[in-house]
Amino acid sequence: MGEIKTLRRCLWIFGVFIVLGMMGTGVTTAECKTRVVIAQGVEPTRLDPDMHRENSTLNVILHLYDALLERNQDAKIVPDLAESWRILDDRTVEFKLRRGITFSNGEPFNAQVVKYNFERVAGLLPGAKKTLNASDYQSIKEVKILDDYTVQIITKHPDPLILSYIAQKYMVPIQYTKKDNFRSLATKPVGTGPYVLKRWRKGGECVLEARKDYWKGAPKIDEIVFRPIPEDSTRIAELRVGNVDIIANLKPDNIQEVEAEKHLVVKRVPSTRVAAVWINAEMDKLKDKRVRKAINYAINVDSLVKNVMDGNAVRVSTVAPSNFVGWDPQEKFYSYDPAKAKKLLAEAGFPNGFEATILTPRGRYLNDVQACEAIAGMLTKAGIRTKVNAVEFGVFAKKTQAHEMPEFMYAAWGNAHFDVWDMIKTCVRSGAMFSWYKNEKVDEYIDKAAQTIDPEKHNRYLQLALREMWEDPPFAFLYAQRDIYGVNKRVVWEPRSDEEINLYGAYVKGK
Amino acid sequence: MFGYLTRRFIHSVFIIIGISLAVFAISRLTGDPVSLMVDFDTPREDREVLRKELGLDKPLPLQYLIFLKGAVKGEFGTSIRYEEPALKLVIERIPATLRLIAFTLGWSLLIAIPVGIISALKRNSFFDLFGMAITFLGQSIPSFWLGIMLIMIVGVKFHLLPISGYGDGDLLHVVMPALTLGAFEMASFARITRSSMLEVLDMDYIQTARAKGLRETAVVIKHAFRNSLIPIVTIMGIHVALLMGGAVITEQIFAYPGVGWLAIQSIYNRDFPVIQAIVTVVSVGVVATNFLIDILYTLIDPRIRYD
Repeated sequence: MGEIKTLRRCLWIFGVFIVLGMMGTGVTTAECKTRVVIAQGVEPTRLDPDMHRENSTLNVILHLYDALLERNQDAKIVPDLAESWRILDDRTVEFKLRRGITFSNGEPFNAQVVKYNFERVAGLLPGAKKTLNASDYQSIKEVKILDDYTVQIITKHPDPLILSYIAQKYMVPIQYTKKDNFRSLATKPVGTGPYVLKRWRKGGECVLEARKDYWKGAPKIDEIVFRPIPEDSTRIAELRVGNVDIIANLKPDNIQEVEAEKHLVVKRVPSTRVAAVWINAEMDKLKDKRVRKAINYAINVDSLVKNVMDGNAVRVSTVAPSNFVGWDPQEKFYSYDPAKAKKLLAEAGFPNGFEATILTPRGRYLNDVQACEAIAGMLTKAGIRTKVNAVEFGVFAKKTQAHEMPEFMYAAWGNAHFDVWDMIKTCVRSGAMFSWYKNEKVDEYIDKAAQTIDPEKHNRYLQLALREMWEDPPFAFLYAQRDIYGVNKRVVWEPRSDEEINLYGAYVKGK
Repeated sequence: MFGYLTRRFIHSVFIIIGISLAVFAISRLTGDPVSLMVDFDTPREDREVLRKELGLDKPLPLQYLIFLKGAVKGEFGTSIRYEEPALKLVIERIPATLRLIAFTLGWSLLIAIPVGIISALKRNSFFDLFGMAITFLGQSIPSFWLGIMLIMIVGVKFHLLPISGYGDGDLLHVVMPALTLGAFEMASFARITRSSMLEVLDMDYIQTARAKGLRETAVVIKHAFRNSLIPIVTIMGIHVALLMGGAVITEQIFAYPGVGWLAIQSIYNRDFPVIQAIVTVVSVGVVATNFLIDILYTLIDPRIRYD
């Protein structure tokens, strides 16, 4: 009898617990401050701006720190901590710095800080560990201080992307980082930016608080919260119930679900991420440019844009969308012509086509596997019997960085510099890590574009390289993605093409 | 008893070493953390510098020995991704996972045992058929789908419970993950309770108990249920390991910051020190639980002796 009583008691306790649970709402509590919550797939790693390579971390960092220059909403480089800059020659840029700016710990910002920061990333600071962004600053030879607020950055050779890299180099203070060789910066960041870190629990919220004394003016949003929510459907659910205000990487399939909610809006922005099918021209069967042209004629890119990407992509003639340096206004597109593809294959000695595999990461890029399945179907129809090998991104990265690739590979290359040179120097120039292609003319144009920081000359060489690449294609040219965001209408904010979520300048309606 | 425990302990050490070796080899075969840490255009020489800094340039057997040496001292190295001690990251996440497992076991046993007992007592009745149909569903529904459905219905439609995260340690955040994780456990426990009870109810000593005039509730709880506990406890031991596996998916769905979610992130990023720390800590936990269960047998059934 006693046992039955105990059992009953347990059931009662459990029942009470469930009822109490049901009574709770779990929805955010009342707030007096303006607070905007951003949900990202992964949490930030380290808040040292030079020790990460992820967008989710960058989105936090760009609220905590400033750089000498910045890209504005239209992707133009404009002054930030530097009030102006001058290009003195192909290797020297001079910056006049703003006065009276302090880090959140009170340390002053001046020319010494600039020198210290660039020497760190260029590997010129004795005792400092190699940073994860070091490859961007290899060209820096010297940072010269002319006076407390004037510095020159001198490069070993002309670097056409130097201003873009400078716009990504966030300034950290000297004394604070010197005391433990930058270690504290990872979890207790100190910058000159519009926000400071209020609290951060791993796996939970990372809360930033506005600096009322920010030199550009206090931010209009008092608190920004970054929450890691790895699962797409959970992120969308949190957005729908109002616990989250902004989510990125919305899939085309989920747009309707978000649009159905009155308090939400879907925002799209042309991305700098350009998708293409890499062709392994090191393989005998793909050396002939007629075969590579046939591949381009065999793929119906318009259909991919419409049916796989649901309209959330813009076709590109090569690998440069119209907002890139190097884009050719006289662009021409490969038509969808399977008959021509078959003819070219036959001329190249493959009347019966051949077997091929397309390697793709699974879930890394927007609808990557679906796109590859469609492409494989189109290629098979033209005689290239293609199967898809979709792998986890870590496996993909290991294989491709070891220069292992089957006949084809699908990737969407991001480009924070809006300059096609950044992509083709790594993916087309012969001998480069992600190049399976050789064309001396293209190499020559890429090299010439590298040797000048004159924007016109640089642009012209890139256009010539792209025209040559169109004639002798290293890729099957596809499309530039569109980034899709789900946003609560109470937040007035516009997304940017470089995938950065920057809330300085944004505000909450009615506050 | 002491001899048995010593043998079990030595056995457990070998199991943990075997598991760590398998995980060490598999994680290194499938990816390279450096390739995920740096920009794609980082020169090979810079990658080598980083690889050296992380100790990944050493031969694999040597890397494994270094890991074992550190593990004995409780040092698992520094997380490649977070640059913090790997063990500290794991320990920070353990309370959340333990809470999830405790709630899961709690609710699933509270439902499963009465359902199992009543189903056995009322064999082939409507309750039995209904109860077993529900447990069949519990075992068949993928936890991923169940989690999403709970989010959509309980969280989005009725706003009854928080959808994701851990809040400030608020208990409500554990309810949906525990329901998701426990559906399978509840079903398994109910089925094993039912079958174990059915077997015991046919025994002679149950008839004797009834014959000597004991009340039916006393027969069921004192004689039948207690004797049917051995298989239930055994399956609980196995299910602790299964729960850890399930927690990986459940924590990911609900953004619940436990060891399971950390495991997934670390695997994606090939954060070897963290992967190794998790596997070691979890293996020790599972082995220790099974150890305790072996001891528990002697308390439940005095006939069991390890001498």
